[in-house]
Amino acid sequence: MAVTAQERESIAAQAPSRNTCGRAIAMTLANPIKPHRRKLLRLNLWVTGRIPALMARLYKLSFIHFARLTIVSEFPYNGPPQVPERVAHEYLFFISNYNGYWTQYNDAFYRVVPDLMDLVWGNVYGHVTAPAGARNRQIHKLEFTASHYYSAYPEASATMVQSALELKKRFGRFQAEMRDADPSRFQEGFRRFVAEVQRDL
Amino acid sequence: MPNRLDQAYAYQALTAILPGRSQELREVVEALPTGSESAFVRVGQVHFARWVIVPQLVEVGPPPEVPDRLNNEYLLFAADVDGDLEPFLEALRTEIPEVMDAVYSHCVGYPGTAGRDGFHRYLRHNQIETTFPWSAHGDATVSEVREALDLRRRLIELAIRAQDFDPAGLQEAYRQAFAD
Repeated sequence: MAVTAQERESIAAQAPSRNTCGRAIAMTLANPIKPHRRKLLRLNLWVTGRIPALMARLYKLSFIHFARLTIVSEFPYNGPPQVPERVAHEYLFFISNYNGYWTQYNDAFYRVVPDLMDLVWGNVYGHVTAPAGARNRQIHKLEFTASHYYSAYPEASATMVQSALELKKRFGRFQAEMRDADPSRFQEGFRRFVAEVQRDL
Repeated sequence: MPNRLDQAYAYQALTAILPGRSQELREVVEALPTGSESAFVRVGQVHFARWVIVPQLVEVGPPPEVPDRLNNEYLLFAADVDGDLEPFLEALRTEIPEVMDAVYSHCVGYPGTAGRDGFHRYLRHNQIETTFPWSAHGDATVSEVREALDLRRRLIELAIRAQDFDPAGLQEAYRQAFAD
């Protein structure tokens, strides 16, 4: 389903245009990690990935295609004329590909996984937890704008992708069942199938 | 292996930009065709990709009382791709060499796409290990996602179009819609 002009306008109004590709939006943030918190942050992320209940809640953020958190301990050195970096902090980079409204995206994290937000962002400087307005202003300030952004399926939201993949699985079974059906049985089967998968259409 | 996410791979690199070349690099990257004309279409296995110029770290404080200052500007490259890193790097080298050379010729120590080993070594050397990747559809390849979206579109069209069809008409419309 194509993005309507109205939707595109609405998304564009909230995110710099270079951060968008169709429905997809890029977010790129970097926060300094508080001193001596790198190990704790790494441990928190390692544990999070191994708690199915927490990951299940993270997957409830259904507007995310792909996202990642990365601890940058040093900047790669390629020799002169690059000058070696001497930064006092390590950095947490957050790189996300999502769809929808920028403010709703930020607020949803605090609604769905508030404990994870504390586990992660409590270890960095520059993160405002509340109120939402101040938090969003701060994220705006921290956000980098992409110079080039690409999505392989710009017409689709993350939810549409999930639905389509689920539909594909079920459609295979439907096709096999209906292979030799006469028209009357086929019509009955098709109507039943459409009703069953309505949520994914 | 933190870079791995189901069948997908989360690659990212921070590469120092040559002194005084940041603006020129920005102009090159921002002039690249986007959407269905993006060079990443030719690479094939890329779900999402971005180039971001990091001119300086953003001041968040205080705290910290003394903000960090970078000595160089950096080019951040992040991509979510199918399969392993090696084929992805090779696809960048062989499918879009003119784009990689136009972009990375503004970066320190870039060896170019002519030599396979040098190019791979450079992008590996500048790679930053991902700590925590996640995706709700990291188990599906780009082709699988596109096929699924196309199937969904055709099914929606058929369901709408065929509401008043008789049984034989519906079956025929279905066969035409899903002939492949």
